[in-house]
Amino acid sequence: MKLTERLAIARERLGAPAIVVVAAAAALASIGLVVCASVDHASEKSSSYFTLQAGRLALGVPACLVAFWIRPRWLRAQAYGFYVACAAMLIAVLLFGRVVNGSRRWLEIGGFLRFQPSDLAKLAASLAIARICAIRARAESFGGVLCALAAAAVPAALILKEPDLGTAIVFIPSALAIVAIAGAKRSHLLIVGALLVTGAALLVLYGLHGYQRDRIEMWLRQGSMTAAEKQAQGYHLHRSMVAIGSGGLFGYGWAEGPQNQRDLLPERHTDFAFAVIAEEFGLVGAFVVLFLEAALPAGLLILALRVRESFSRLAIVGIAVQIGTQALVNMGVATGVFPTTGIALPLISYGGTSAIVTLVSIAVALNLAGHAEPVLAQEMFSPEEEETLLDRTLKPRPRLWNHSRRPATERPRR
Amino acid sequence: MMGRERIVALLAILAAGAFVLALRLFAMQVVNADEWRSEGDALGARFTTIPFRRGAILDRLGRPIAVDEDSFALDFEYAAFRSRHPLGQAASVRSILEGRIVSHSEIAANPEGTAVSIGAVTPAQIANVWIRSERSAARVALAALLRLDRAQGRQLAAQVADRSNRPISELYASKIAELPARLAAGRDDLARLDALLDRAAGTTLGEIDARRLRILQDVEVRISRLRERGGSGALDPEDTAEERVQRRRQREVWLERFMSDVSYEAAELVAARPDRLPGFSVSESMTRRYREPILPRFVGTVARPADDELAEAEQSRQRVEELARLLSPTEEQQQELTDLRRKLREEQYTPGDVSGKSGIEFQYEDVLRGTRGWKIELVSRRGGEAERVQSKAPENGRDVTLTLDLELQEACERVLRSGLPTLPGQPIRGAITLVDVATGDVLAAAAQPSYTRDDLKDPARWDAVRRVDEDPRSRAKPLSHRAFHPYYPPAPGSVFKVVTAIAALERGIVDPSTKHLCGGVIGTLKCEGHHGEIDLRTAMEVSCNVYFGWLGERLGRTALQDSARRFGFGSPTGFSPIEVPGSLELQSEDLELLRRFGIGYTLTVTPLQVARLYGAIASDGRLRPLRSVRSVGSFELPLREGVDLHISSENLSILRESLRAVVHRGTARDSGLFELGAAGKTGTAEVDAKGVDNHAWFAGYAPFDAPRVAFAMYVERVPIHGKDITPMARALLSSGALRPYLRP
Repeated sequence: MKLTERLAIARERLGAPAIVVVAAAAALASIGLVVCASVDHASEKSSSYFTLQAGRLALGVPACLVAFWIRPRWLRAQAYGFYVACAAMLIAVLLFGRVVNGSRRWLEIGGFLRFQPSDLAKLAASLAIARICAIRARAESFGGVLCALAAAAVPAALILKEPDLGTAIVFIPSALAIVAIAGAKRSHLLIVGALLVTGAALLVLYGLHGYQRDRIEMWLRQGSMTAAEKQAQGYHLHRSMVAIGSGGLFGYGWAEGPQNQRDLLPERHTDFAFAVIAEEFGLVGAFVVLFLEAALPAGLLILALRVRESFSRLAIVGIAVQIGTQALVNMGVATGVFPTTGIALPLISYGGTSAIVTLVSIAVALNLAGHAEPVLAQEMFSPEEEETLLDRTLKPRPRLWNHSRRPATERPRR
Repeated sequence: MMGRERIVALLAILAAGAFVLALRLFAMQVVNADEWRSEGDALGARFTTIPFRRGAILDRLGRPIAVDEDSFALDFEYAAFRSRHPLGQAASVRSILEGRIVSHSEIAANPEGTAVSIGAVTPAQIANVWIRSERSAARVALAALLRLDRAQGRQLAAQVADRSNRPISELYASKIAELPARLAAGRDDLARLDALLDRAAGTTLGEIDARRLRILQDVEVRISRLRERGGSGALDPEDTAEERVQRRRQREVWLERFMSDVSYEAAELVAARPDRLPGFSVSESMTRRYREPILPRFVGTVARPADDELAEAEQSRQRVEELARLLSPTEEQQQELTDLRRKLREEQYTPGDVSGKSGIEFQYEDVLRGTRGWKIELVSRRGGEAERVQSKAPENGRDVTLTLDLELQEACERVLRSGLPTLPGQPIRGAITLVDVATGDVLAAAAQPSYTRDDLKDPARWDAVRRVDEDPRSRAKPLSHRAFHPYYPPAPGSVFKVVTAIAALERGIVDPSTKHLCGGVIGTLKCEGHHGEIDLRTAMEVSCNVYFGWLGERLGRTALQDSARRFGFGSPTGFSPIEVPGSLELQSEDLELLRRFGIGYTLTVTPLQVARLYGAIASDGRLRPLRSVRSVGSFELPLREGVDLHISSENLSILRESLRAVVHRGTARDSGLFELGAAGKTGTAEVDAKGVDNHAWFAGYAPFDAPRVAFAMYVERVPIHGKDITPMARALLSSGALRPYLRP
């Protein structure tokens, strides 16, 4: 099927929420470029964040079209395969990864291709968990819930080891949301919730690095930091809040923010890009970004509401929750609502893998939503078939579901 | 359907999260925006102090003795030198790549060699630098050293990323060819600065090297710590907080005072060529200048603050840090913090300051010192343009007006230096003091031998002065000011006889008509002649030892000591805190000792004490405390009444007449002082009995009818007598400088 046809069908089926999603994504990516340009303006480096990021976003467009064009059936069939491949890459990162800023997050292939597998793993985990939970019976069993959460926990644990707490955190709410939407029992969710709270408490008490614990302490008493702490443990938090707070209603104007321009704001092009926006464009700019960042997952969730097919719906929810969590946590960190942790602001933060994977995720979600049968709540596989899933992931599936409503004569034949 | 509801619930959670963030943003950016903005201004601000002008020291007529003058100081910032001067860039590149500290001097000595060694560098070598920040520093410094443009800089970065093995001399041949000339030009610029600073070529570069070593030590420690851990090139996240603070401190240290009081030409060179001498900047500062050569011992000196003065600021700094760490300081602690901060900024000594070390400079330090001003400017982390946010102007110190008359002081010093006709060619050891009888103002206090400001400035000459002072065989003792703290306090000799006379008259031991027979000798004391039957007036006139020895006997120990004390001996006059009080010791009632005390032998005094006594006799019989300072700032120090000695006017007039007779027909009849309208008394205090080792004294007042000034002078250990130093008094009284004081 031609891409143009696909797009036409998609437009017909997806409707307004998809337009909102695409528009928000485009707007956010553009705002991200504006931030990069502002940081470039302040920087004396010869390399330009703007050009690099624009190049990557440009690379993301064909990737998106591919992601939009592939058949959901194939995506579902390969979900576990992707997952295993990503897990393997995460292990590879721990073994041979490139160290940047004290963390091993990057994988280099052939000296020119460099990416963070953790970003890819987010998408792969969503698809895999969606596939696990796509069968109602399994989603309702406690074993199934645990299985789904384990699928999230494995990459999360590997990423935590890098260490990259921020990215690791995103897996949990996304998995929980998929499990919940798939129909997990309330009691199961409560048990899992209790387990997670306990786990988080244990992590905070025993599992954190010294600097992470310092950051939590600084966050707890952000109003009463001492002068020395503002220079040390509380530096990120304090500078970010200074940048945001001093922005005022309309901000200092583009490339005029003192914290940004004087190179005082740390990680201003990545994790604290929101602070640059709030400083230079004020409350108005911050509200626009907040609205767009919320509208993007909200649009995806509304699309998910229309989708009856389980895997698609769950995968869309997983992607939406990932994006939403990242956005809320990132902005929460910048404003001091959450303790400081490194997490990218979707589509705005500088970073190739993150931006491309986010774009591709959105395309995948739109693809799934566009294909999904809006009325029939059909299962793609029977539970028996699913039990031997791993063996079959690489084999072609028998076609059990018409993913197109077009007449049978026009169906592609094999 | 449950899934549907739960998706709606997710939407609700999303909306709630966004709402919370929106509220938070509103609170920060609208409600508390001003607080954050002021907090932001406080961050990344540069704090600069503005020097105050130290108060001047003026003479009684307002002529300057010590003043702060504007001068230029040279400041130096190593970071700027390293990144912008070719020698700094070359040293930086080579040090990083060679793994040792390559000094600037080494590069300056051999520009060709440096060009060769830098030409041999390959991009791969840079890529292999182990620490990330060093790696990029090496690349950036190399690009700057070779003057690569932006495109070439990017090209170099790409070559480093590719780990190219081609040497730089191949990649940028033309740039390397220019390099030796650039390095040599950089060296010559520094040599020109050296020449204007009057120093040997290369001195400045050597000092820069020393400074750099000091800075690098810190960095070295950091790197070795990382290496021990076997960590990667990047800093451990746990380290970053501490490192950041350290780096900040270093930045603060990097702008330093390089040299103070540099010549206008040197300042102009630096200011006119910021691109040729990067890292150097000129700032305005203050330099203390003295009117030469006057009284260094009395006016005093300033120098870098003492360690304990600096320690005070350090203590405050620690306390400030302590207080700043408190989570919930109490009201008092908050107040203390504010006070300490202000003190640190404005008052307490910093290494760039000076403080008074001696004399008036020391005594009036608190008055002369002003408070520093300061300004806070917003700057970027890389320096660059600044914007003033807050400032406070300095408060200059207050002037101190002395009682001394500069001209008179110089006249006295001239008199002392010009020597005596009876001691041709022999430098005088002695002092002259002049006191205003109505106020107790010391008009002049000169002493010889002394030293000058030039001696103080030049370490070699100062060493020589000290050596002379410490030499036990030399009597010069130039460090002791004989007017108020002589190294060997002299006995007053016959100038003391006025005290004995008044004591005897008041106690009724003698009356003006009582006669005593002088046979030329009493006990072991001899007289100048056989005076026969004489009364008190004649005894004073001829300075008869027998008569006053006899009075001493009659008065006894207590009466003698009490009278001496009453007339101001044995205690400081109030002129200076380092005065020698002198001694009134009288071991026993032994008649011999009493006689000697009676003629002024066993006690020790200072010329100022003697001048004060004669001032009291000359005026109204009040002994006034002497003072050295008339006013501080605009505040006139009140005159002190002094102690009424309760000398009856009869006795006072007897004394005055006899002192007049001394210069008229007595021991000083040939001095010519009578014609000048003065009255006075000679004195000769024998140090041994042979009569060739005497302290020669002359004390008195003028004019006789309406006394205005009292004076006392002595010459230490000379083979002459009191009457022989009257030419000094004559020279003084006839000098133009004193004339205004003698007019009624």
